[in-house]
Parts: sequence; structure tokens; C-alpha cells
Amino acid sequence: MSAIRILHVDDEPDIREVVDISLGLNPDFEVHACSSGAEAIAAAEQWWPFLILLDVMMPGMDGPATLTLLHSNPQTADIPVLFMTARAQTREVEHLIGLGAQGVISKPFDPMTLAPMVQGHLQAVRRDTLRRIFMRRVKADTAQLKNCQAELVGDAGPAALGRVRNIVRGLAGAAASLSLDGISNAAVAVDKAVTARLDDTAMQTDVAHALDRLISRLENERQEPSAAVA
Amino acid sequence: MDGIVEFTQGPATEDFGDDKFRFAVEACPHGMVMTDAAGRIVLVNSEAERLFGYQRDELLGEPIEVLLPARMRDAHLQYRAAFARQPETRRLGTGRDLLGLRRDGSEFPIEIGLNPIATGQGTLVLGLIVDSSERKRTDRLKDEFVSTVSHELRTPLTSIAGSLGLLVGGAAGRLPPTATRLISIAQINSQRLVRLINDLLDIEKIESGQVAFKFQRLDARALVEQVIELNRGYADGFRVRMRLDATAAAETYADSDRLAQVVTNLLSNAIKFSPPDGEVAVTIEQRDQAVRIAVRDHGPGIPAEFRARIFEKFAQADAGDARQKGGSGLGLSIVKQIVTRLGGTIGFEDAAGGGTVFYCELPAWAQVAAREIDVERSADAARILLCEDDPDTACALREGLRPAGFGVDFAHSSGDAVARARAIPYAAIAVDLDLPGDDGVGLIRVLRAQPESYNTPIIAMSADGSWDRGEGETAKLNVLECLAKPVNVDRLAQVLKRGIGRRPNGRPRILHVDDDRQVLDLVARALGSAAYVVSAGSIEEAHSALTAQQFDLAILDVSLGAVSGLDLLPDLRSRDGAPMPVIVFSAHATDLAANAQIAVSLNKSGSSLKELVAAVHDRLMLQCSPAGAKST
Repeated sequence: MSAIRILHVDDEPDIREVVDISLGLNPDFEVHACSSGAEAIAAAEQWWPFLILLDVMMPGMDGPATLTLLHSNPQTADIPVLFMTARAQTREVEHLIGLGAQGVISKPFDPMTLAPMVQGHLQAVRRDTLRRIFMRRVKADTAQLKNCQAELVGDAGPAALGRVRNIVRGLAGAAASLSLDGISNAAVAVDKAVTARLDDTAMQTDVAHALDRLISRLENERQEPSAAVA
Repeated sequence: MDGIVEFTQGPATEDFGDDKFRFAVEACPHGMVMTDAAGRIVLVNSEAERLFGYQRDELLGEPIEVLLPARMRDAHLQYRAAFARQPETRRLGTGRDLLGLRRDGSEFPIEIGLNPIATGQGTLVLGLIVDSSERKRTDRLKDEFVSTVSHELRTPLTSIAGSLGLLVGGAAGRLPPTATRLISIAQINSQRLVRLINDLLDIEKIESGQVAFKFQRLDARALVEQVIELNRGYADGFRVRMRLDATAAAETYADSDRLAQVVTNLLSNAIKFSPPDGEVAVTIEQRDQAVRIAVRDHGPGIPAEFRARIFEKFAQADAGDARQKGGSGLGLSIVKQIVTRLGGTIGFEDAAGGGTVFYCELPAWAQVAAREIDVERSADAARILLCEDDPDTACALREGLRPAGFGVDFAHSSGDAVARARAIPYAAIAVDLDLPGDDGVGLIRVLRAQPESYNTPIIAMSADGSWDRGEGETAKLNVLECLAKPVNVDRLAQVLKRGIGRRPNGRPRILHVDDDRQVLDLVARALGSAAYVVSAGSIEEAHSALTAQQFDLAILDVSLGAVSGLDLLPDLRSRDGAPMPVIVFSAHATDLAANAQIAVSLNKSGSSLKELVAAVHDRLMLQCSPAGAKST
């Protein structure tokens, strides 16, 4: 179950691939790669990563410019950013940290320790920041689940069930990593119901009930002041 | 051949004695211009004629200011008056860069040296002039090269080292034994290549003085302990033990990262050349003026024929051996450069009982604290005089201001402050009002009375941060601001930056990029009276200008042939990394509201030059209005 979304931005396709495999060594990471700052900004707004790995030198909009734009948007301002740079001199590193980055990873990096390093940086991020980011994702996922719910009223085929399963698995993992057990348990219940339904050992209504419970759980959680969306 | 003086047409032998001085002047590869007490030109050599494009008859008798751009003349008159009161030799390359004005109206960067000569008719001044545009160009090319190498070589290496690292780490599953061996060879060598590139860039940067050293008071023992800990794994690989002998803390003044680099290098050399089960001993001693860190190994020793070259680049005692040990041949050379920059010395000697001791000696903190002139300031730092009697406070402020681009000299008494401000043209002076002996206000009064500092921005610091700026005399002393002690260094840096204003002569600097020469000329003329405008006809020219100097604002055309002026946006940053305000002045209306860096977007056809000028004023007033106080 991929719980932790990491957005990686680099204009070099080869580096994107190496980073993808390196981060993939941690099964909790779900990596999405972008080739430009503009793409990254769009992805950050629609995919709600817990952390962004951002290349510094890119044509057009470079890393620092991308960071500035991310910071100017309330939807993405609190997403922690780690810069990756081939020019990691002390002065540059200080400059990058000064721009508001969480940290700097120098290139070439050690691919076998990249994932633990990223994990370490994530542990330094305040949990309520990550929860805030997660709740933005919950809002979008809830809307999608409601659409699926409508489809399930009819005799939904495996395709719709598969979509539901993807969404709830992501939710379950991420919520568990943030100790949001209510959401996590409700999502796992939907996952189980869908799986059983696909094996034909459960009724469509079992899925619908589990989904109802999850959706109301998600909506409640979003209204709780502790996890309110900024 | 150009520049060689013809002796064949020379005078008769008996006159040769007098004329050889004239020949020497003519043959001098630098421009030479001598002025009389009134600042009029009395002597010009051939090189000066060539540099400025004048015949010497056109210059003799003219004021020296004809060789400077009009906008710099007033300031130069003042400078000359100050110099006449206190003439002092200034060596070439020690002053700030100036611009020369050729006969055809073009400008070029110059460096000058000044030699006052006392005569019965007043002081003559002999100026040596060098065209520094070539040096600036090569410096820039070198910078560009270094930054390109750094990025362009490391980018493919990131993919190579990354892929190999994943294979060696087993990310692709188990490999056949031969493949494992081959991949591991490739990986070790890719890592070596990375180290070599890092070392090369490092030494280049250190040699060219580009590395900003962050000096701070530190305990050498704590630092060495850390480095030993970090190298334990490496030592284990060679089955070498490490031991530290240090009785007490040994305080020095150094850049901790760089000092750690030095110790790491000495340690890893000692480990590499130690026999298995050997021991590497590190000792730290506090001597009178220095802290000595010594690393002793029990290795084979340094061959006699290699001793003289050991700190040279690519020097390795036995190339085959060194290659086997994975060295780049640059390590000790880098170490030596760093230690020199740290103000220390490095050396080695045979150890009693076999092996070698490498040692470095760094200035002890107590010694540094007493040092008043900031010798480690970077070349382009703004020089500040700090009148503060407590050395600890003074050192802390110096350290804090250095990263903000200031070099800080100390004056621990009013007398020192007055003398120093007379000798050195400081960009600003910070005065502790609670100085012993004389009071701070009295010091400011004296500083204001002497021509060398009558208009230097002054900042006061006092226990309660109060300053009677009301009526009367203190208001006339024109103190920018009074800060409460303990002084917040960021706040001080901010006030200093604002107070110093913009160079040259406090005028804002504007970069204008447009591929239409006519537009460039029009804008330069329209803004010329208020600002210093650098016109760039292409992205490349803009890049060159940006590497050579700092700007306060940029005016950009969007379409520059095939490329967009907006590509420059990421490079338009001030020294401290803040985005520079940008005015877009373009033929096409562009919607740029999304980009926060763009202050205004003007359409060439829709808006007049006047609107552009207004926008520039508007933008710069926002930034530098308080600096206006300085010119009063």
C-alpha cells in the first residue's frame, strides 16, 4: 500500500528513472515524476504530495522560481521541498535553505540511501503539516468516491470497483502513516468489501455500506477542528 | 611591434642620462598620467594615449576629470580634494574599479594606482592606469566555465553513479559473479570521477578566492573528535586505529567545514599509508599564538625526492601506488590552499621511530580577537568600520555581517576610529555610543568634521537604542539610525545596506535588455541622469553583465529574436538571492500578472518613454528612499 506521496521534479529523464527506482526501494513511497517546474506546480495542486524533490537547475522555470510559486499558493505553500542540486557548495546550500527549502540533497546522490534520507526529512516535518496536506487530498478523494457511489447503485462492473479500491488503498496507507486510524480502518473495510465482491463472496450492498461509512468518516474528519484544512 | 619605444632616433649620448627616464615612462606597459596640484594633466605616456584615444597635446593642461564619465566627475573632484589633504600611495588593483571615458565617448573599466610626489610647486600625482576589461572578461569566462563544468559533468554522472549504485545495491536482483565484479569496478571509478571533479572545482574556487569562508570561533578539539568519528568506518576498512591526544579545548578562528575538510584529508592520507593494524595519532596543542593539529602515521614515510613537490597539484609520490589508493593528486594541494586561507601554515616532518607527522597551525582565537583589520573579507565586500570597545561583541558582529557582504574593521577607541576613517574610505561607520574615554557622540562629531567621513553613513548603537534626533546639534550629525544593544546583526545589516545605497556614487544600477539598439539608446538617455544603465542587446550580453556586476532593477524585452527575455528571470537576483524587480517593456502586451517578480508590464507601442521612466522611479524609490539622506 503506497502511503506516502513524493513528487520528483527533474528535467533529465535518466535521473527521473534512477530516482524513481531509488525511492521505490521504500514500498511506502508512491512517486510521481515531473519534467518541469510548471508541471510540478500543477501536480502539487492536484496530487497533494507529502514532499517534493525539486531539481535546482532546470530550463525555463528553475527550482527556486518553482519554490517561490509553490509558496505563493496557499494550496501548496506548506508542502515541504527538498532541493537536489549538482552545485552543492556550502554557499549555495545556505542560499537554498534560505529560500525556505526543507533540505538539500547533492547530486550525484547515493541511490541506496536516498529513500531513507527522504524518510528522515519527512520525520522532521511537523505531523499537523502533513495532516493538513492529507486533508486536502481527502477532500478530492471524497468527491471521487461519491461519484463511484452513484455508479455502484447500478450493477457496477469490475472497472468501477477497481477505481474504488485504488482510492481507498491510498487513503488507508496514508491515514495509517499519520495515525488517523478512523479513516484508515474505514478505508480498509471498503477495500475488503470490494475484494470480496470481486471474488463474488459479498453483495454489492456490502460495498455500498462500507463506502457510506468511509465517506461519512472522511466528511466528519474534515470538519474536526484538529485536522481542519487551512 | 606595438608598444616598443624607438631608441634608434634617440638623443646624443651625452643626453641619454636625462632621457632614459622619459624612455622608461614611454615604455611602461601601463597608462601613466601625471597631474599637478590643481589636478591638471602635466604628463601623458603613449599607453595612456592609446587607452583613451587622445593625442597628448589634447590632454596636457586639461583637468584629469576629462578622462572620466561626466556622472563620476563630481565625486572624483571630492575624492581628489580629500587625496590632496592626505596624499597616500595607492597600489594598482587595491582601489575600487572605475570607468574611463575615451575620446570617442565610449567607457571602459579601469584600475588605477596613485603615487603622490611632493615638489616645491605642490603635490604632483602620478596615476598608473590599466584597462581591466580583458581581466573582467576572463574572470567571467572562468566563472562560467566552472559553473558549467560543475553542472554539466555532474548531471550525467548522477545518472551513471545512480544506476551503478542501484545495481551494486541489489535493486535489480542478484547478478552473476562476473557482472557483479564489473559493475563494482564501474561504480568505484564513477565515484572516483565524482571526487576528482569535486576536487578540481574546489581547488579552482579556492585559488580564485571565490569560496566564501565562514569564519567563526571554534574549538579545534571538538571538531577533530567529530572528524575522527566520521572516518572510523574508513579506518576500519584499512584495519587502522585512531587515537586523539588533546588535553584541553583549543580555540581557533576558522571555517568549520573547511577545517574539517583539512583534517579529513590528513587523516585519510595517514590511514591509507598506514600498515594494517597500525595506529594514527592526532594531537592538538595550544601554543602561544597558534593551535597546532598534528596527524602522525606509521607509514613508509615521504621519499626524499618527493618532499619538495608534495603540496603541488597532481603530485603523487608513486603514481601507480596513488592510483591504487584512489587519490586524485589534489588533496594536499587543496589542504594547503585552505590552510593558507585560514591564515595558518601546513608542513610535515619525519616522526621519531618511523612514519610521518603532518601538522597545521592555525591562529589562536585570542590572537584573532585582537586583529583589527578584517583581512579575510571578500574582494567585493563593502568595508565597514565598527567602533566598539568590546572585542567579543565586535568579533560576533563581524562574523554576522560577513555573510551579508560586509568586511568589518574594528576601532576599539575613538582615536583609532578617527585615524582609520581618515585612511580608509569606509562605506559606512557603526559607532557604539558608550565608548570609553571620549563619548560616542563626540566621536561622530569629529567624524563629521573631517572631509574623509563628512558624508559617510553613520549608524549609532546604544544601550537603550535612543538617540536625540530632535532639534539642535545632534540632528545635524545625520545619524541614520540608532540600534539598541545587544545589536541584532540582521537588523544592522539591513540598515547598513539601505544606508550605503547604490554604487557608483549612490546611483541605482539598471540592466536593460532589448535587441533593438535604438530602444536601448533611448532608454539609456532617458534614465541616464537618474541611474546607471547597462544596455544589453542579447541574452548573452545580459548574462555577462549579470556575472560582472549587481543591479537594482531590470528592464526586459520579451522577444529577443528566438528567445524570451523572461528566460533571464531566474538569474535576476540580488547578491543575497532575493528576486530583483523587473519591468517588462515589450512590443507585445503580455499577461505576466502570475509572476510576482514582474513589477510592471508596459507595452512599447501603448506607453511612452515617460511612463517607463516613471515606473523606474516608482520602483526604485520604493527600494532606496532612505539612502537619499546620505547626499545631504
